[in-house]
Amino acid sequence: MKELVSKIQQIVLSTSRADDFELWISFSDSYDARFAQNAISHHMSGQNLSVFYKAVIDQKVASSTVNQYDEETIKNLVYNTEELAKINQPDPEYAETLSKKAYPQVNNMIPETVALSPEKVIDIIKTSIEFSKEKGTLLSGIFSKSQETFFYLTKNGFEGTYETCSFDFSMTMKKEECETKISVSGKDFTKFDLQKELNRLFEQFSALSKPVQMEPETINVILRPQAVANLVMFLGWILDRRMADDGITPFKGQIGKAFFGEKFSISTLAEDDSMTIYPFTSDAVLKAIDWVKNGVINSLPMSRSYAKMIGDEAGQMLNMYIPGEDISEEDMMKMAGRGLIINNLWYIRPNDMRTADFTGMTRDGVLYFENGEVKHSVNNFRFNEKLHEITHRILALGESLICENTIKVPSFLIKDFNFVDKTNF
Amino acid sequence: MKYLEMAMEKAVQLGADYADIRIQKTTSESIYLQNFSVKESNQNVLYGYGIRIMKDGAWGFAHSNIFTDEALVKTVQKAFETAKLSALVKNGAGLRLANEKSYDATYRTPFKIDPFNIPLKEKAELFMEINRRMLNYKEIKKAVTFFNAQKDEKLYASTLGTRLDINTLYINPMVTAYAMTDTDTQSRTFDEGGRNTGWEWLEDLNLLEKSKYIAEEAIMKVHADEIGEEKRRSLILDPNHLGLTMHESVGHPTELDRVLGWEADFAGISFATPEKLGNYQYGSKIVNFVGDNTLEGGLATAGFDDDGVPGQKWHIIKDGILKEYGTTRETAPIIGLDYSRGCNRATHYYDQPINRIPNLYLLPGKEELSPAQLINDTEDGVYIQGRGSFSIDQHRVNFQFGGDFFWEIKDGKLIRPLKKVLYRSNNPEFWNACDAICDKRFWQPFGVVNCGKGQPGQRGRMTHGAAPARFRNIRVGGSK
Repeated sequence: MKELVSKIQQIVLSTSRADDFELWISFSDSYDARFAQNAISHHMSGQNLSVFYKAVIDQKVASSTVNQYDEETIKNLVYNTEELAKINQPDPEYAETLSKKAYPQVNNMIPETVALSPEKVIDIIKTSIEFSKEKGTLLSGIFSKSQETFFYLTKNGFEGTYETCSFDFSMTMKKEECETKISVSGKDFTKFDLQKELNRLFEQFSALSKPVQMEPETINVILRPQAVANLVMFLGWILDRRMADDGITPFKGQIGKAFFGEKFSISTLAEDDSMTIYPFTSDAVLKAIDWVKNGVINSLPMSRSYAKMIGDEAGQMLNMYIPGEDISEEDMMKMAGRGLIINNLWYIRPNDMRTADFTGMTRDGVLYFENGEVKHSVNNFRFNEKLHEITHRILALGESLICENTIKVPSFLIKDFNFVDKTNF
Repeated sequence: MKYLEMAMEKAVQLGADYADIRIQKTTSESIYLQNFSVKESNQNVLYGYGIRIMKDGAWGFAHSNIFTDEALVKTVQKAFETAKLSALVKNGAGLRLANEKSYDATYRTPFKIDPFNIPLKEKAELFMEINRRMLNYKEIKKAVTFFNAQKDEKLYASTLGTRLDINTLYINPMVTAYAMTDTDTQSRTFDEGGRNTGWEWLEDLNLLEKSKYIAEEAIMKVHADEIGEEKRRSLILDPNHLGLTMHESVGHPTELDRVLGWEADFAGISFATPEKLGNYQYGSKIVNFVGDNTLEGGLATAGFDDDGVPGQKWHIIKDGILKEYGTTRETAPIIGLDYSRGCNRATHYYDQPINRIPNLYLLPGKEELSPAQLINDTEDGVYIQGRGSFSIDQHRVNFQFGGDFFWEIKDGKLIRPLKKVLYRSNNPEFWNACDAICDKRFWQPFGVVNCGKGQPGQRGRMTHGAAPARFRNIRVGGSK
């Protein structure tokens, strides 16, 4: 691989006539076994190598990607991209590429994850389906494994590489109207305990029997970490400095102010044993940043070009972390008195960006609790909520757990969550 | 190409019950301008092949971007080994493929001007001018133009003997103006969602002229009133808006793989289960939905799907009754059908095909009826244009939609623009509330180029269409 990368880099360096350029070479090896209704439905594997080249000539920018890498293709990639750049309009917001600098050395490669074979994956799926059949349920899900290597080079002298490996396993257990899902993802397969996950799935499923119909209302909720992760992904999207300054989102003029609730903080981590860490992007080298600390916005992520425009530092919302308070679900239920436990949220979309007003639905099971105890499961609900306002109503936070491989968040106990509609299931 | 034959021979030699190969080159271009900055001008070429093998009722799929004899043979072997592993985890005898003939055919998207032959400078200048015209308005603080073109060149062979040579081409322009005041920001977008055609469509659209209306309506919207408390009203929905509504509430629930639970872990399942076929009142009697992968300009029109099944036209809902699904060769036999409707499509060469929504549209009303007459006949309602927020549950029953522009209707007249309007409804309430559809003179297509589905995720393309239609007694209000 290194020889091939070196060869591609040499071709680009000897062919390029651009004032500035960036070159990404990425190699991926992926494997996915998808199953539904107790049988494998799709089963895929393959490798790919892609080469991305971005050229700048007289402040005019163009980029191209190819996934063939013979000498002629790479020379054509460089030539054609530069020809495209020449006939483009100049970009008044162009910013120079990264210059030579050190970046964090990360350890994303776990040998046991890399060595995970298709036969082992099929064993895991087979065992899981057998477990499901014993319980009289249907199981659907996917087991994915991927390994990627990235090489990055700029004309300004930055040269970097990193590797990642990860596995993702999700299972949806269903019987009649009861259905629930758990997901496990990470870079370290040695920490995966199938029996523990199956027990967790069945426990979550069993809690949903005999659902009771309930009307939508404003009610206290405990959002479990997966639900929080889904909500926070949207918050991560709108927490952008340019969108704020342009007045697209509600964060204009709020830097340095307590715009969020006091219990809410969100950071980018530069190191964590459980997360896949991306040490750099085209915009910046990874740095630990507290974007929001105890409700106060310290900074917002921004691109390299916007950072240059406003004289600030570029940064991206990677390796997202929300610190928790390690408060147990039992204690949260006692604090809330009456409310709902939400396993997951689904189909979250903005109603209005300026006010960060979002809608979405509950999924994978909703539990009703009263006097500190779960009483029964209920139907699903639709919510409409302003994301930042929710953080002002956080009463307690649980332990931060890894979700989606690059997000680490706790459960939230939120006061008066606004449900506006319901389903009959 | 020799690789087609080599792959099929190797698959048969290994003992495959069925195999196909798709050699696919996807060339795409995207240009994104924010005000006067060209944020993206990108051309990509993805070239490779995917081999799908069925063995003992189970699938194996492998892909590669290396075009050598050795790599091809290895990829066939990998697909075969993968299928054998899949067969260890199947239900009964596993999957069976619906009958299909073999074909030797060529398909080309009809177009006059190849968008890839229009110089980037010319495109960027046009989009810059569109943004300039919108930014001439004082309250327009942000103007965005996005353009995307893509051609897919596919060679396909299957062990049925089918040999296909398919080239498709689509373009998709989108223009947005953001109007801002001290207290609010609202946008207005031109977005017809893309079409299988050439640059001539963009010339016909005259976006320079349209940019004026986009900017003016964005300004009108930012100064508009909110609707107030939710109450039941009439809705008149334009074709562009209805395209998204039908996509989510009719298109997805009638994909047979969802009905069968194949998407249970991710995109969800469907309330429209097989026992409802032929008897379920999905909509009122004037509601007729047609699946049509022969539609001219349709984004799912490609001659054949990735099962090698030819494009077809069929009723999914007829006179309000659920009649049929969008099916594939692997899903159709599970509900006792021995033919597929040709809805199996993959996005890139490295994707295994999945059951997709076909081009799906609402037939126009049979009686002569114009949008003006429809508005004139409505006492209390909202006219929604374009698409906005959209969210639906995983069974495709309960949904909430916004829009891009709104007019309040009182006593047969459009009395004032509105903003932040949302409506909430569900299946089957919504389509049964449809009491009027304008006639065929007002029917328009609307494309979707980014339908997310599958694990790993794929982005599908299809076209919807409708004439403006009215829905009675729907909950319409704001966010609370």
